[in-house]
Amino acid sequence: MGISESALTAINVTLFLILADGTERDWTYKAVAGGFGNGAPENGEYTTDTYRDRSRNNGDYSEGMNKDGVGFSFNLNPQFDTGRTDLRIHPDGNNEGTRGCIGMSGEKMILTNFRDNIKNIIQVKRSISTKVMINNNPNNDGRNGGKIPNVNE
Amino acid sequence: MLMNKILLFSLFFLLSCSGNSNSKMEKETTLIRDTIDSKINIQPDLSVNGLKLLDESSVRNITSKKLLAKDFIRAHPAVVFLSNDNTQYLIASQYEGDIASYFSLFEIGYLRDQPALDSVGVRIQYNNFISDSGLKLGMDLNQLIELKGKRYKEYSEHGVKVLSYTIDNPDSPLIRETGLPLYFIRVSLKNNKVFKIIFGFEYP
Repeated sequence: MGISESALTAINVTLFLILADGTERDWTYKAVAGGFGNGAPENGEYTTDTYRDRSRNNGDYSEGMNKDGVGFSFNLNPQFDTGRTDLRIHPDGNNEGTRGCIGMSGEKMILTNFRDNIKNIIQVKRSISTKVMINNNPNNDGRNGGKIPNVNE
Repeated sequence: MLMNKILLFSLFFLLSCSGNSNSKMEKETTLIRDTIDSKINIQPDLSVNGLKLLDESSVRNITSKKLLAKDFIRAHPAVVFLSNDNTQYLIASQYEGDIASYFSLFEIGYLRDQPALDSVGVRIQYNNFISDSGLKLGMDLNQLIELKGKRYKEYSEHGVKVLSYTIDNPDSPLIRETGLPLYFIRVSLKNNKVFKIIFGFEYP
């Protein structure tokens, strides 16, 4: 595991919409990526799909995917060969940062707005074309390996 | 312009400032005892039957089968192993963003308590799952405390006694070397006998 490559990166998530009448709209949200494990996801083409309710009182509950009472995840699917698995977009709960997912920042209203926008789109169009572009991204595909050190507490 | 490349819907993740380097039910918990001193750490458990946390190559110590982590078993993608005598399970959770078989959390329990796991598990040669320090199902409270010490938090969760050990001190070698924020061991007991063990790193 390249801890040196796991630096937390602040990013903007911008949702572009082109409506049927040609009108263009966009929304920008604050997020983070990396900080743990193999760091931010690699730059490249992805698709986004599959909403999951991660809120409390749910079998899929994950504290790290909940923030300000809002819990959800969307799958972030690389369209290229990589060792990274199961990347997600979710609220940045627990500690700031992720192990490669996009951790959405912001408060309840912002997170709810993002969740609902994406949910509405994937109800119509099953998958959303997605591009990750992070300056100075180490583009860690996770295949460098890394083992837990010998620890004697 | 970026938008010119988009035909319908797109999500873009754009760097804005890179200088920042740096179970279904709500838990009904009642804290009974808290003797955790964050400056004094317990000896962490880091493996089960040779399968190690944060070491994907250690999978070959317990199986040669090709593994695929599945969703909807636990909150995070997981591989289920079953004891050879079909009495115990080991759930190894692989966190999102990590590589295949790079497990961060282990759960050991009795298959009779989670019978649905029978259909998704990979059977391995061992009849019992045992951690590197000797944690195993069926041990009693005294054996547990003798093994892991008295620096635990005890609480009741839906009437089940749970002992929880935590390492989150940034100066701890485990936390420092892994770069992960929190390690824990959570042991559930019925009639003072261990029936579930969960240990590993918290999803950040």
